[in-house]
Amino acid sequence: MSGADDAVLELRAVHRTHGSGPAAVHALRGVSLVVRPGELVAVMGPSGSGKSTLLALAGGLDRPTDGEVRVEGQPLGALDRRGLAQLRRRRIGYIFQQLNLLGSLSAVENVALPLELDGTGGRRARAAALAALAEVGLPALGDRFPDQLSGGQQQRVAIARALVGERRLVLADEPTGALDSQTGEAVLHLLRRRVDAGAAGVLVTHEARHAGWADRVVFLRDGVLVDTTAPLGSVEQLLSGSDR
Amino acid sequence: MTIRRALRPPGRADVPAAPPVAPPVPPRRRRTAELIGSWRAALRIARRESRRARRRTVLVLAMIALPVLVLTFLAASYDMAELTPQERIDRRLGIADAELRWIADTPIGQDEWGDTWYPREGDDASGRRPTSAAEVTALLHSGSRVTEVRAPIPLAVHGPERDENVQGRVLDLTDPLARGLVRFQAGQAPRQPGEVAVSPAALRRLDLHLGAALATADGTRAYTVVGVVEFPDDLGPVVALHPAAVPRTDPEPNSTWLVDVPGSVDAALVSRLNERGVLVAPRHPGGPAAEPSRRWLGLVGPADAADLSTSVLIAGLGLLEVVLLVGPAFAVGVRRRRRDLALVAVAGGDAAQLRRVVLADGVVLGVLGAAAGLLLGVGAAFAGRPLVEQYVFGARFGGYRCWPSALVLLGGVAVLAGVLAALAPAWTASRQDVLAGLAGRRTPPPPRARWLVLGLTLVVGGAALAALGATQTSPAVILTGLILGELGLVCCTPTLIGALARLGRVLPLAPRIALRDASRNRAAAAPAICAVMAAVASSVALGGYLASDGARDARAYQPMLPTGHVLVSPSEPPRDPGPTLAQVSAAARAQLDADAVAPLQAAACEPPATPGGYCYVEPELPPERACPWRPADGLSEAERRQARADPRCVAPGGDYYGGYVQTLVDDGSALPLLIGADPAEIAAATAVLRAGGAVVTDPRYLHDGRVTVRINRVQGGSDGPVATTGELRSYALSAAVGQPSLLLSPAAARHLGLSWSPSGWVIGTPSPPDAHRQERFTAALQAFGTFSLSVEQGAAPPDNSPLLLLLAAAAGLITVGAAGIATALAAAEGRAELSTLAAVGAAPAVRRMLAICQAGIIAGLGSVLGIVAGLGTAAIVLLSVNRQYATAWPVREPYPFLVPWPALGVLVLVPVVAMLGAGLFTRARLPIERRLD
Repeated sequence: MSGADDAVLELRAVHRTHGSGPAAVHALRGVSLVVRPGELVAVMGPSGSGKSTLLALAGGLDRPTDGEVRVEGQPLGALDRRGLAQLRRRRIGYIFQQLNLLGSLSAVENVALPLELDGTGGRRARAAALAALAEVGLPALGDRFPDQLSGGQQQRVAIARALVGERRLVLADEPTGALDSQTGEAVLHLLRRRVDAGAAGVLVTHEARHAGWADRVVFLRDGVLVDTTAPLGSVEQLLSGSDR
Repeated sequence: MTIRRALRPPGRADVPAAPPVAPPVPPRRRRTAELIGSWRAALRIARRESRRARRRTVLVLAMIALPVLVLTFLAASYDMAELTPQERIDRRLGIADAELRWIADTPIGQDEWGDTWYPREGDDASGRRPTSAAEVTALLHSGSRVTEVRAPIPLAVHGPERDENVQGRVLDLTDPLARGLVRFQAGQAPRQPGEVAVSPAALRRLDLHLGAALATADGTRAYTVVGVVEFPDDLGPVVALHPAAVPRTDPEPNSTWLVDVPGSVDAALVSRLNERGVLVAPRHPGGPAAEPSRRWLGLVGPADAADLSTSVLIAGLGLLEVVLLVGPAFAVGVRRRRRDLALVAVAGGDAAQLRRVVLADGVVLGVLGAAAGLLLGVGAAFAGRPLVEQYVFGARFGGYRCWPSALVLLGGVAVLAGVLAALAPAWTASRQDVLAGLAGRRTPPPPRARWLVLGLTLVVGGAALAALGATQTSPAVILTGLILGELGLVCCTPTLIGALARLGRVLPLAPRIALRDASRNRAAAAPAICAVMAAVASSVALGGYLASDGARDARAYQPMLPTGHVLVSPSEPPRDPGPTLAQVSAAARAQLDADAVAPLQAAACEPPATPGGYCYVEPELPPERACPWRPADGLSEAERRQARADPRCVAPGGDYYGGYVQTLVDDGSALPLLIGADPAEIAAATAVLRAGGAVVTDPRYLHDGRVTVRINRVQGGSDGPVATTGELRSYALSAAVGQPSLLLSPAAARHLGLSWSPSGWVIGTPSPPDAHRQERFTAALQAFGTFSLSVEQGAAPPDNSPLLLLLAAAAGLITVGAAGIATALAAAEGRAELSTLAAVGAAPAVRRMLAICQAGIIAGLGSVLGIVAGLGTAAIVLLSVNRQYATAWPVREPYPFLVPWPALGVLVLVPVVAMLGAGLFTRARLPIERRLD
């Protein structure tokens, strides 16, 4: 895949190997991917195929062994740890399967956390966080703590946090894995809306039903990107692990 | 299932919404704003975490607050005990305007408070010393009033079990001036010579009550108790006597006058009284400008600098101990919150911001601990004030206050302890693998060689510094070396634990898991082990030093008499007539099982010395036998070497030039009781005395069978003694036990123109009499006055043992505490693994054994390291000092290296206690198992 000037996320021939010698594990092998504004890309594949590694590399939580990762044109390899942290709090939002929130912070404080870390004043950060919570339908629950929220509400708070401020890239790792199907659909709907508003998203999922919310589905197996626009039937074939 | 493959154009969503955007922060303020923002978030998280993890919070708070509480209690109590100048003057004067004390025959100068004085050059004070109220009043303005206070007056009275020595104060408590010095608690003021008021302590000790009779020990006087009064400056047993009860002596050394003058005591009056040799303590010394400044932290004179630096370093050691004890709690907290920290990292927290999240724990808990310690400490000081006044200071305090500057410092140190304890865990948190944290995986950091290198460097450097400090006798340098050494061991400990964990494969299940857990959880185990090590090392090192010092003192001990013998001396000018030899002998045989008693006669000049002068008699060391060097001469290295090689300069006891030698007149009866020597020698010496010669206990004084005796007469006002000498045929005892002595026969004393007078008795007893028998003996002689006894025990009293055991007990307490903390934290952390153990069928006993092993590793390893470090430290310090002594002159006794076995015994037992405690308090069954019942 060639580079793209308007890409929010771009992976160029990325390799990630854990360990060395006979014990080396190749988590990703030459993966290239471009995600543009307004695009939600679903990443599917069996356990151990490298989905979470791809997400970690995209978020600057890990560094590729080879290749290059760019976020809004900025090569992550050129950034030190501090620069990567700054990028995460300004440009990248993360959503995990569960336990997304800090238990000792209220919902609004969880959402405001990246802004506060970035030096935004307390009141302004809170106002922005409340607005983000209103966007995800939780305007009245800002002062509740995570253990006072349902799983779906917690995930919506996590989405609000992932998109608060000027973030353009949302990375979601099985965001519906711990939710019932109805709540999961609602969360994905919310994610879809935020991507449609101009963000770029990467959604790691096991479920083809959830991948249906994406504009594009990419499939990983053994660290290799094996398909990018699979038709419905093929996806189910791929899920079963058979070659095309 | 639907998969939409067509790329949607941006903005085509069902309900498009613009993402909320926070207003931008100006770039130049961004860094500061980031700092403030991240601290704000970190402190908020820490505050809430402290509420969520209540047990851990209470544990940390207790460890921080406890030392703060103790120190605050001490600081506040000290501050209240330290009277302000105004409180001091109020206590001294009561309601009087001033206190007068006749000091000298000549004019004096004084400070404004009347605390210090100095003789002034000039004429003799005009007039005679005022001795009556009328004479004192005549010195003051007309209309003045005075009352005399005579204190302290020694008073021996009958007690319920034995005679007691109490303090007497002679004052007229019916006079409002004197009454202001006391607090009346019951009864009334003594109005006649036969009445007394007593303090509450005297009431208790003498088992008295109002209306009871109080008799003096000699039975010559009896009083009726009519009042109970408290003297705020002395809460001990005090008896207030009526002025007519004790006849005045002239001069009366302990007499002061409280005065009430019309108006105030001005500078002119003070000056006039000073001219008469009278010291004045006025109520208002020259206005507010004269208020002396109270102490301020930071205003330290050069003389205090060494003490201050030592105190700071000891406080530093204490701080290190607290940091090491609290550190594991923070380390475990970090481990339990690793996902939270990873989430902060995911949200954009950089390494510094992650560190702040953990450091904020230290700040919050440090502030809470400081606040709790300060509040409780001040509260305890205020609540316990009456007890501290009574049993510690023996005097009432001033106002309620708490030394705010010291408390601020203590609070600051407590917060610092919290932050320092969180420092290492914070560093660990900032280096945590975010992905591992998100996945809930533990990633124990590999042992880093640089820490080991740093640790070993610090250990070696600290040891060298301590050795250097020991050679310079500088406690500050020694302590700095010890602190560096301990920090070095702290750095080495994780590596050591890692190395020990490799031995786990040969161990049974429980110790294997415990050892590997300690290795995996090094961040928590290492500080706990180091806390134990530091406490044990300090205890063992100090114990080793004290044991060696005690042995050195014992070696250098020189008995004053043969073992068991008793010297009886009058404590006050003997009454006339004093006891006869027969009366003393009878009392000694009855109460002390005495074998023999002999009178002691002190040599005196004839005619007696003039007033202000004195006379002393001594043997003269032949010049060729005296050491040619003196320590104060600033000797070179070569001269010191020569001095060490010169037998004249290495005499035992450091008497190189002829030191103090007591000179007595004896006909041979006291000699065998005073001096311990071979019986044949004693017989020969006695024969010489009976033949009119003299005896010395040091053969160096003997030349050609004779001793030169020098009689030094010092006249009052002259610069030096006028000496005359005489030679006497003498006998020298070799290897004599007892005080260096010259015994003159009566004939020899007369030959030198000396007289003699009784100075006491020496009593031979088969064994040292105990305190009870000594009391019975002095009581038997009570009718003749007060006597003091010196009993030769034969060796220096062993006074180190209680201190050593106290040190060991303190170290033991810390060891058990640290092991308990670390074990509890490990147990809490390892609950999931315990569940796994239960799931695979491990019996509850296995889990209990696991806790025992965890405690054993912490306490055992810490104790072993501490004992090794402590003995090493003691050895380094003692060897360094001995090495310096080896070339020093005057010759100094080297320190033997002794192992403090009692302390070691306690410290070896402590890990066992810690393990048993862990076994006892560990819940062997898991919650899920308990629910099955």
